[in-house]
Amino acid sequence: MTLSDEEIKRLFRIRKTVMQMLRDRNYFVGDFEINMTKEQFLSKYGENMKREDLVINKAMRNNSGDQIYVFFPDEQKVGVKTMKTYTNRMKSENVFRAILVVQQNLTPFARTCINEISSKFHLEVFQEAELLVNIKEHVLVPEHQVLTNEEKKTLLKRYTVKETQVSFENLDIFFLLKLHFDSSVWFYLLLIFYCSYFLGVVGAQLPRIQVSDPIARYYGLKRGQVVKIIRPSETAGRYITYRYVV
Amino acid sequence: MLQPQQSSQNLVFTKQPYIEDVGPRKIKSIQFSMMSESEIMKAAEVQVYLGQYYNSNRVPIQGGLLDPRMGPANKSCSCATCHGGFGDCPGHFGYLNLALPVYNVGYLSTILDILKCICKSCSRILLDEKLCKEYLKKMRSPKMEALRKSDLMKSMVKKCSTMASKAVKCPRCGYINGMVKKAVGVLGIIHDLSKVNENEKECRSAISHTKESKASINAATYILNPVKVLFLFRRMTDEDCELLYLSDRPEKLIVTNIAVPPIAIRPSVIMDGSQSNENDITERLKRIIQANASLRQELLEASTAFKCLAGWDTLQVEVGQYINSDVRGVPFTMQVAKPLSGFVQRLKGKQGRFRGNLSGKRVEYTGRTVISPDPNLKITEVGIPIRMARILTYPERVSHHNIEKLRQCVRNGPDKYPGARMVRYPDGSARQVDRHLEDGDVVLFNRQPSLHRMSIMCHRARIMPWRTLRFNESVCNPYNADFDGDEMNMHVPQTEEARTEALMLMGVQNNLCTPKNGEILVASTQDFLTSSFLITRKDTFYDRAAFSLMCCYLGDGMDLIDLPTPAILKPIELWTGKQVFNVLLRPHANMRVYLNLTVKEKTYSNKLIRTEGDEEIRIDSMCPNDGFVYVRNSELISGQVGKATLGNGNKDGLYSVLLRDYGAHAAAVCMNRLAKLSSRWIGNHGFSIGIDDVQPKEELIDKKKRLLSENYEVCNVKIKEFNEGKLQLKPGCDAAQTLEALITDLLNRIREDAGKACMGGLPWRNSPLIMSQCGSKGSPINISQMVACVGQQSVGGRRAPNGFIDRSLPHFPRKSKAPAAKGFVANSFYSGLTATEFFFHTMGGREGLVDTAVKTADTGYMSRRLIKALEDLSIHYDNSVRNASGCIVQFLYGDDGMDPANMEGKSGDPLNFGRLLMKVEATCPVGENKYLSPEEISEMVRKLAEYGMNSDKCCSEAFIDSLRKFFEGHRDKLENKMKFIEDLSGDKNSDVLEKVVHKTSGITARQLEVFMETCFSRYRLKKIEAGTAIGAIGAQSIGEPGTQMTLKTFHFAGVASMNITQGVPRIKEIINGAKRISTPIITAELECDYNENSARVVKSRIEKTVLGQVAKSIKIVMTSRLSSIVITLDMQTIQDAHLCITADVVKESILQTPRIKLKEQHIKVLDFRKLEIFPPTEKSKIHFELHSLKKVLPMIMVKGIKTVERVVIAEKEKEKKKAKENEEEKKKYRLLVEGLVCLNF
Repeated sequence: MTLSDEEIKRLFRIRKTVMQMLRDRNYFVGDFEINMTKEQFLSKYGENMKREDLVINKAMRNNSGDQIYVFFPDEQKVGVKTMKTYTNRMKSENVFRAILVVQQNLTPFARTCINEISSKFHLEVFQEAELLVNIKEHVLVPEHQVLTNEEKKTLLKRYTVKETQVSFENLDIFFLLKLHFDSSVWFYLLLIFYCSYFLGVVGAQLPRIQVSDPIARYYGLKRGQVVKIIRPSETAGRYITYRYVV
Repeated sequence: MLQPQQSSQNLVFTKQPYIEDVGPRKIKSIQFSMMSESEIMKAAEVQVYLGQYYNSNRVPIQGGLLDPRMGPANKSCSCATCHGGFGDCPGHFGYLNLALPVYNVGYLSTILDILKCICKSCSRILLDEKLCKEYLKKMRSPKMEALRKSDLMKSMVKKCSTMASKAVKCPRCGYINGMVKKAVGVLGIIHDLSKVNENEKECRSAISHTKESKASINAATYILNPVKVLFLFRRMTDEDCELLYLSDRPEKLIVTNIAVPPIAIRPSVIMDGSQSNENDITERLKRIIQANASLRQELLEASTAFKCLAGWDTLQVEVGQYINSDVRGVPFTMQVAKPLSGFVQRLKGKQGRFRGNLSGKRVEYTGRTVISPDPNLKITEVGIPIRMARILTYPERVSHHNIEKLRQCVRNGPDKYPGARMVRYPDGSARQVDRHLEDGDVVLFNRQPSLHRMSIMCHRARIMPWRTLRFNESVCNPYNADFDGDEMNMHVPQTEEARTEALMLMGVQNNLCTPKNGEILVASTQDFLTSSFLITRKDTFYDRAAFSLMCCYLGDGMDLIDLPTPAILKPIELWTGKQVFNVLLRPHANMRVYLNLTVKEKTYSNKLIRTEGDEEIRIDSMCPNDGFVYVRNSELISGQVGKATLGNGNKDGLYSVLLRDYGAHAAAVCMNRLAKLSSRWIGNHGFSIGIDDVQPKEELIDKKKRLLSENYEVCNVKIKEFNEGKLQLKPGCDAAQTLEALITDLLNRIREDAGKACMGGLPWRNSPLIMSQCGSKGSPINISQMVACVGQQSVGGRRAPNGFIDRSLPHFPRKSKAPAAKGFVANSFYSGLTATEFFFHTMGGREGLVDTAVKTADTGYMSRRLIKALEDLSIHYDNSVRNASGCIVQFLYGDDGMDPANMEGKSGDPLNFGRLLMKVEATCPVGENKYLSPEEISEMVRKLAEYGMNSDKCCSEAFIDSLRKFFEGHRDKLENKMKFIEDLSGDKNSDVLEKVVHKTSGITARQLEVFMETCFSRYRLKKIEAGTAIGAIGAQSIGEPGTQMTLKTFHFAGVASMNITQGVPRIKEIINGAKRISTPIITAELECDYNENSARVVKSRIEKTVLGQVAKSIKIVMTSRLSSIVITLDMQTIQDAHLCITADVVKESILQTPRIKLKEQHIKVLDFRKLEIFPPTEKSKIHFELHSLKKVLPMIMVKGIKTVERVVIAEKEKEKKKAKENEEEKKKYRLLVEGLVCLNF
């Protein structure tokens, strides 16, 4: 099955975005790969290219052992079988991260499969439609920088922010009140106090960003990382904020 | 620890909480649970079984609801348990034994959840062993949070109940369980086995012949009564309880014994005579006892089971309503209009225990009466009637400074002012005298609704005769008060600390500005503006006597005043009205207030002076209406002052500038002086309005007549065109909308033109005109409505709707669109409205009233939610904004850490450089100093800015940038002027000319230095303080303006019939986080934005196009052999709309449409514009199939995005103006896309 012109155009754009994404994630990507024109793209992969041909394998800029794969499955819906072939390939080459660029979506089984093997292989799934445009270049998306561990530590120290989540297992409240047995004011006060205490302190004390946030996915962030966001500000010229990935 | 009980006399019963004296202790854990049957009995002192209160001697009956063992019922009794009186006995519980158990309605959902999970035969969990273990492991893991665990429990319930939707066999005992659900209409639980029971069919067929077949159709559903459930729960193992995340035994969820609460919490009030008024809870208990007794009787009689159930149901409902009187499932016969409140009602809502008694309380030392104005009071004062002052007291500590005064107070006693109500000896050493309120005491003053923090401010008391609370009208604004019968509250702080805090934080002087945007809120209003406007008229002159008198009006007659030099010396000395203002601003020479400002008043117009070739010469400061207010070094040079200068809401106004440059005190003192002057002056001068003020002149009447007839004519023409269908349509509108728009436009123009004519014809002496000009009251519209024409009345943003068939009122012909028939009021209020006009006018008026009534509730709830969400946000000492749990919300408040209350610039900039420079130039005269050249300026600015930047790193980049930009502009202006002069003069006397240039826009080194220094030092002061409750301020700043947004009509605004939701509805959407907003619109910028055609192409690609829009015909073709549908496309329309649609495209889109079961082979493309469809069905059904297809086919989407209903091409407004300037005919376009666009675009 050959691809139509329209689809080749799509693939070209997707590949470009993927390359930019890898570069922003600090993988070793050459400028020529990003600035590739459509003609070059065509000549490289031939007129009747397949999606599978586009597979990319890149290494980290500062650590060549840390590699990543980008797969472009042919099927509309990716099943467990394809996943297995990919993971086998990764296992044989000692690569533990991969990006899956799917045309529509995964089958529900494949999705659970990803969760199951997540301890070993880190697989990220993107839809093709999501990668047609590089969201980072949108006017409304400010600059994001991923903090290193040391930077994160100094930040937490600077603002004396607690990171670990506070557990309240020892205060085991089940919301069954003995209302008509004890209606003294003290009882209500205690109740209010504990309720507010409960709802208050959960999670890190920094502003948050979800792992499923498009930008967090673009940078492949994991829970517990911190991003620095620099955005233009009307009042101060520019404003720097930090977000904790949850 | 307590000693072992020796004698009961040692025990003391009090209402004080018991405090064990073992030093501080930490709570390790706390567990909430229900009390079991036996626990209730143990805790109780008495069994209650009689539903009676008192016997005939008014003594509480033993075993009744007011049994003395539960505590004394009134002051005359004593407790039978602890022998305490009414004041000391804390109350004791009783218990009430129910004949049969009932559900506790509060726990009904929990009971249901448990029942869903357990087998209805063996009470084990309906999951197999392995799954149970897995869940148990998760439940027991200490890492998981409580919320997660309850989620887990919910998922378990879901798992069990989804299984039960079919039938689930208990893995332990093999019993087949059905579905468990809440019974409809009654308080109960049903076990539905209808889907399970295979015998049921048999059963049903067996009884189908009997009479009762219909009634017993639900033979397989069993009611799970509380007895059965209790039995099941008792048999549950502890492990299963743990698995279901129950911290206690589930049988406690079912009520078998009711604990009768102590009498202390349900007091019995004895009315005069033999009546007593019982608490709702007591009455409820009485009804429970009655229901219980009758049930018990029924059980004893051992009559039919059917009857017994009725009594049980009654008891269940009674107990349910005892806990929650709003409980659902109460049978219709037992519903009453106003039910007795249950326990839930005691806690819930605004009057409930939490919001009504714990978060908010009634307080002492308060007062409330009607308010009235008093311009002789200072703005920081409040006049308090003597009667109030005699009751409100302040505990003053006695020292040798005040002992004489306090002695006199004590001698006067509580009733003679100034007296004292009490003498206290709190700690032995110093005495306190609760003396009457006196002048200068600190009080808090408040008017509801308290929408922002300026609704409660701190004033100084002034004790006055009469009966109202009085304050200066200048302070009306923050309270939003008027004197049409408003009442206000007053509170007296009782300690010295509270007083100081109140003065510092809530004092009127410290709250002149709103923190919303830094505008001044306390400012002159109404009469003060009118009289200042009249005083500063160009033609007002005063002789020595009059001027001196006016100067005396300013103060209390004690102030030092330097009389300025008269403006006219000969033939007699005359002072101008503007000079009064000079005195007002700076009464004597020792006062170091140098005010500098320029304001453009409402009347301002920079009229064309002359034209020099192409250039139009306009001079800003030369306003023919004297609307340019210029104050230089506290001298009013020009301008007739009005609202812009003296009123609220202007950041460059006189009081704002005074406040920023010379502090709150200077501004407050100035306001006091103006209030005194203007009220006294206007009292002598006189200012009123009469019928002759609103009489139109002949000329105006003629003009109005002409206007009306002309425009009516045009209207008629348009209506005629509309009726004939010839009306030229406006883009995006149909004929009716176009007509409406046109007519509304015309009618509005009548009102406007009539208004203009009316305003032009009014003499300068006209009172309404004066008031509207100075901004004290009324607008030109109000005046022209009185004099010329009231104009169109609108209901819901439209002309009057049809209340009758096809017409608004029966006075008009049907379907009339004429102005008068649709609510146009051609008369003025002076000439009087006709009957129909009057009716239309009331329609419009009522809409306004309804709207205000609705909106107050709406916006009130909105601000409450806002405040509840943000109340805990405050600024910490590291400048971050955090909530109560320490989570950072913003790293630097507002990105720059500035206090919005102190911002001077109009758009929220910290400083208004232009004004500041003007002040520096005026206060720092040039003298002998040399002017700087442009190069020197930029050099110096760079140096100073760097210095400012480095000296302390508090200035934001934006601030430094704006400062730099300001001076660049200044320097460029100077350069340009120099160049112009050089060109003009060549070389001749360039020295002189240069001097002229410098004089107009030059600056000296000293001035620049002072300027920069003030900039930086002021910037530093404008930083927000740590500890500011920024959340509450923010919430109030959004909530308060919300209450002022009136009329739904303003909530929609837009171009080309594309409405955008605005105002309160939009804010609501945002706060609710509504997923589906009412008007989603995307503004799409085009890449080539000057070509209209390309815009059209893009538009057609995005907009949803269905087959029906592009098909010429969709026909059913029947031949003897085959029948099909033939679609013919309308190529003309397709081309006009720039769509690329051919038969192939249509085929594709038909195939892709869901729910149309056509395959590729069923559709045949005949040529590029025709296609034929052969539906694949049997011969017998093909007719129906064809018709259903014909119905569906026009709806099939062939092009565009499904969710986009409409796309409008809009011209860019700003660009249009620019294009005109550049004399380019290119218009720029952009698209407004209506609808939610998904990712796949």
